[in-house]
Amino acid sequence: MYRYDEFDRTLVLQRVDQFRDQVARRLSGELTEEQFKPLRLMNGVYLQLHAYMLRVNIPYGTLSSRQMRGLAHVARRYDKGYGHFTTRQNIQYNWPKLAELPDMLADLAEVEMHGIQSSGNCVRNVTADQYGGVIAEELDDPRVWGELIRQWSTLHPELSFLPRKFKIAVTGAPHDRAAVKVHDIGLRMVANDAGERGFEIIIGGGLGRTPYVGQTIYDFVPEAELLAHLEALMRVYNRFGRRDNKYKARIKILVDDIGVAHYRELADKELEELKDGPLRVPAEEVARIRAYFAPPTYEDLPDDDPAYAAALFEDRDFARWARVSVTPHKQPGYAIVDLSLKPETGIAGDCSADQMDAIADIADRYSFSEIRVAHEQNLVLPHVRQRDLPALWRELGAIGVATPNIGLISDLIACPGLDYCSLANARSIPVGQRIWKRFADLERQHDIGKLHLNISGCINACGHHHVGHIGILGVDKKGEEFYQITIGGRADEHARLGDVVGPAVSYDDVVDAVDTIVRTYLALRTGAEEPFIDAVERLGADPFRKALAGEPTHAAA
Amino acid sequence: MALMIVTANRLGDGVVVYWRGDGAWTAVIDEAATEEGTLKKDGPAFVARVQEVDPTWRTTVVDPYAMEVVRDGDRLVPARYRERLRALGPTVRPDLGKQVWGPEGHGAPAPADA
Repeated sequence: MYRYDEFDRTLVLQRVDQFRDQVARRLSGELTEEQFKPLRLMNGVYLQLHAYMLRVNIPYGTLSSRQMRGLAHVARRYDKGYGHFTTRQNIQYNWPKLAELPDMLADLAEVEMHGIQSSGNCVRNVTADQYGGVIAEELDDPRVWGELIRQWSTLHPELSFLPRKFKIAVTGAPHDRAAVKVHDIGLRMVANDAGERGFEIIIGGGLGRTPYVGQTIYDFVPEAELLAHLEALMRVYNRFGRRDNKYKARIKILVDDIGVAHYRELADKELEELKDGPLRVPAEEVARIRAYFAPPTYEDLPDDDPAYAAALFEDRDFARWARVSVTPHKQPGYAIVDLSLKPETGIAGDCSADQMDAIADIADRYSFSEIRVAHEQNLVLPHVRQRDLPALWRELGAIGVATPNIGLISDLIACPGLDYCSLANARSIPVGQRIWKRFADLERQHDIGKLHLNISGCINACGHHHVGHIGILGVDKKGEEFYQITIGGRADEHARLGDVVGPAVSYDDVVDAVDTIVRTYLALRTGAEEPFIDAVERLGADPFRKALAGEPTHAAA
Repeated sequence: MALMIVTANRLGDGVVVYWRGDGAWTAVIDEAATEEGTLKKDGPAFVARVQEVDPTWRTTVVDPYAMEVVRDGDRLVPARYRERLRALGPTVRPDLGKQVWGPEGHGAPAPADA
């Protein structure tokens, strides 16, 4: 497990002291809001609809049980007893008081957590595959590289005044769970013909009001040259990225304007200076970081534990949960377990302080004290013995995080939306709750199969609606909530943006529209083995458009 | 012409507040001072007058702006849905925000589906 070094600790504690002074000066009137706002944002403090909001980074989505207890503690002491896990693998608190925020940040610093660079025009929290280090298919643990990038980008003077915010995601596995193609820079670990590991660098992806799937700018960059390449790419962005228009300032607009080939020419020029300089990553530094992510001491166990196999056979409910929540581990006899933060009538991504403490205890007993956060707003226990799965399932069920819906329609992503967010045009969470209710029959959900439904309350797309198999975007029509629906989006290695399937529908009609789309899929799929996204790619959006418009569709032969 | 009030967030805790007209800000929307006018045309001047009457506003509230309301008996109901939510709290957490005060004399009527 990674831990802060003395440099990080000093930096974070100094920042807390600075912020304490800044808050005092704001409350006394010495600082105006105009002066204070950039300072609070640098520490992750926003002002939302009803209160301040604190965003806390969870680097590459990895948490220790001690840190989880720290998150629970601040939720209880400074907030209203819960936190909200986001699509950026962060956690947000919705009700802190300004005067108490310095103490809240000081308490978080005790567990090596903070909100530095969780806002503003800088490199934000580096996100990664939530199964990093434990999934058999990966070339390498992406967190090692996420940490290297975190160290490089933290308070980097050239990266402190970017044209706009900047998001980097890393995956070490061929199957992309980190949505790297819709980030400003996405990194995929690949091997070259000689079998050496390196990175495919994807640039210019992003969601928001102008969504793009990123393009590959470098097919293979050796590990040692990663930071030099990133710095070269950032220099080009810093120099040519637009600063005159907030909505055209992201790197995706620059890449679209000048083309990825020209962008590469410019970056290659920068690389001439950078490539063999101090940014060359020393193998010993990578080894030092890698040691922090060393796997725990696993027991030598056989795969397909008999007790687990028997429970799968004997208990239908357990088997249904395991089918969607348990993923094979690279260590024989172990499993990766997803915890659903999407219970029926719940709020996607919300977790109470009591649940956090209980999950920390469970992680201590079942998962070497380690927890991960998935960008789908769920949690993961990365190292569970297969033989412990039945007992673990019962314990998770007792605290409400064992809903057997991972990857299904009710495992939906929903941003905070107009219930909390000052940018939102429409609510997201209750739309998700109503969809959950419509599909409450879990047998039906399992029959429908894998289906990612993503909801955003505004065009900023925190709910990743563009890349949902079904995407829902809240819009404001004359002060009332309406919803634009897309289908066919996906965030994985085959990333694409969804297609609009008709005019926006009202809050009252949105659930019926989703139901119509699902019924159309069920009628037209070749069989249960054809998932929703495959059927949409085979059929195109037209049959779904027609169904929504009330025209007849034809079932597949 | 519409009925306008001035709203902001309280500096200390971010709670939604409204200008009461007597030099103070209130968390209760029904106590807000109203003016008639067109939001786009007259709203900024209304805010400027409030700032003149309360020269200490910078240490009390954040980002004041004018919003439209509709009078319903003794109550003031925000015209826009966003403001209805600000006046109440999150619809998905009826235990949080101003809605916990109860409907009488506070906030705005709950949306039908809240």
